[in-house]
Amino acid sequence: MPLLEIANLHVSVEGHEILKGVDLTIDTGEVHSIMGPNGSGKSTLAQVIAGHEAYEVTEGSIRFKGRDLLGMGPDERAGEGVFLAFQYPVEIPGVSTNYFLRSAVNAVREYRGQDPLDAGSFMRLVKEKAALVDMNAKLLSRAVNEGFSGGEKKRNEIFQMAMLEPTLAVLDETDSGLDIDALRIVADGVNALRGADRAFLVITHYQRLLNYIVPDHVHVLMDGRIVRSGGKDLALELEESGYGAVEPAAAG
Amino acid sequence: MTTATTSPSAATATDRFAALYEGARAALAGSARDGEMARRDAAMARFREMGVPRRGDEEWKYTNLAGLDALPFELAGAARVVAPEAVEPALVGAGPRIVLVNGRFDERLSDATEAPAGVTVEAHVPADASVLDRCTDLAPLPFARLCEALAPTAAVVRVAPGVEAAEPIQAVFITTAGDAPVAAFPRLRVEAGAGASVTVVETHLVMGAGATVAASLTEIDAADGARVVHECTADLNESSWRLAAIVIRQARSSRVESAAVATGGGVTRHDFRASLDGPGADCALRGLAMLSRDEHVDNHLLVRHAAPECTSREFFKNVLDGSSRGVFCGRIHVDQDAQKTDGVQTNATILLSDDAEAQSRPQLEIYADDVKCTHGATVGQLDEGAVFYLRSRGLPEARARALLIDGFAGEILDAYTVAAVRDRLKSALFGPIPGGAGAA
Repeated sequence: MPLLEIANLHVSVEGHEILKGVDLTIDTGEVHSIMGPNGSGKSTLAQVIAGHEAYEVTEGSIRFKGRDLLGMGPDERAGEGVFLAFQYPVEIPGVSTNYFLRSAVNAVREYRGQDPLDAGSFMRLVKEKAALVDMNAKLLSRAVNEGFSGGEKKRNEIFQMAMLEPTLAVLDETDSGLDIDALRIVADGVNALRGADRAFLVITHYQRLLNYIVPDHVHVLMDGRIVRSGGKDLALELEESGYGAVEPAAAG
Repeated sequence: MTTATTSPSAATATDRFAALYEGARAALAGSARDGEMARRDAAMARFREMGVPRRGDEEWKYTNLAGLDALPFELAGAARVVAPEAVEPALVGAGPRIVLVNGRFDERLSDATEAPAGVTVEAHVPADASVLDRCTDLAPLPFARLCEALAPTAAVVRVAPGVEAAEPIQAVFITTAGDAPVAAFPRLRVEAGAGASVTVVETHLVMGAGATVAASLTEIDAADGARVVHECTADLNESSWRLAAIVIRQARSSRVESAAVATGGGVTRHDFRASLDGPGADCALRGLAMLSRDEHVDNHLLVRHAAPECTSREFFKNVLDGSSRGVFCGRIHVDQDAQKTDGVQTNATILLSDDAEAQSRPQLEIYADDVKCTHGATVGQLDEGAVFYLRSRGLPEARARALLIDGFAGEILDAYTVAAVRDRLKSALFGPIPGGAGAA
């Protein structure tokens, strides 16, 4: 049974069809990348997988571990093991990163039938995972993402991912706005989390990120459909020839 | 003093208050000190001139007091006994404490024996109302005058010059509600001498479910360089009318912080008045209303910068659910001589339901020409993008919303310096935190 199975997915926003029949299957342990020009529907796909209610699924299905994902709320999806690293992480004034994380980790643990972490175990976990993305401990006592630089916000996303231990992590343009050092740190964090029991869907506009997070499969999304799929070399090919040269007929 | 012209079955609340005073006057006179009755009579006369504000009164535009007319209230009983266990949960620490039940000193519940040298905590009728007089220069406060006239006694906290009171001092005002509506007049006075420092926790408790009307007066007098922290909470019932004036006078380089949180009740009105009379005085007022039924909270403030180089900060927030109403009306008044004034006033409201209502009127009135004053008001809903973000991290929707509200209210709650007060408020508002640990 595949981990994620998207079939004929049609999605509209305010009556506007964005996704026009997406098919995508991801197995555990795999890293898939979705590339595509601006406006092709990449972020829509990410948001729909995470459960944003502004997106209306008009047709098709998403199954996760064989279960209907679309019937679940965003928090249930997180409990089941879905994680979205946001393209634009949200600022939460007045709520410290530490407190937010502890609430999130314990909510997910509760969903998974595990006991909540006590303060000591939680802090040990924070220390371990923060090291993965070189997260400054001072940021943890600040309000979530408030006053964080672009790079710090993205690092915080990967840090949260590490804390929540998802089975499927969707990275929505995590590379946007990152300089090369930050990009490398984020990619190292992701690579450290790669494993046989986890899958990644890396959404990006540029090939650059894929030098650091090497995918098993690359898909090209254009105008709401996956028009081409291939191995990691497809990303290099796109980098050279651009999206304009993609043959829609080659979909599959 | 003229004699009462009204009967106990008086038709309006103004008449009823006047009748209460006539009824109580003999007993009050029995224990009165020199000049006390003259002051009470004068205060009552001023109240009667003004009367209970009517709908047309601009200062009371959003708070309708017509309901008071229909309330046949009597003076809260003198002989009510309150068990210590009933007060225990409201106590914030081991510091000195004074408890007044229905306006009378309760020796059994109080404990001021441990007050450090230079600190007195006692019950008596103040010999003047000079802070109130000063703070009503620009606009009157009818219910504060009513309290001045009718409060049987007052909790008085005095800190001698240069003395720092380490432990918070708590003043607890209990009103026992009964089958018939009762009126109560809690009065607190805080006097901090030059360079003195004190934290006073003011706690109002209504016990029982019946209707209560409380006209309360809190006077804070900060001498040169004094520091006063005043934190007020009220546990009321749904039929409570709380009409509170908090009046503050500040001398040179003094600092006063005053905060009031309203979490329930029926109708609550806070009139904050601060008069910054000495150069370099610093005043911070904060308020939070978190309402979920049909409560009404009206925070009215008037901060007067009467001397140069003073700073004032007024931060007020509302979280309104159900069909509750939150009113904010704030005015920074800068006298002509108050150059280099630095004033900031903000009011932010989150509406959680379609039936909740917010009114916000921040105002500046500036007669000096070299000042820095800003004000702002926002009214909005919870950020749905933030709700989604939190839910995507596994927090169930209700918890996600509660966390956002917690964060919004935190700016006010976290400024509460007495940990016991802050924690009690937080757990009352947000419930126990999963896995323990505070939000900050």
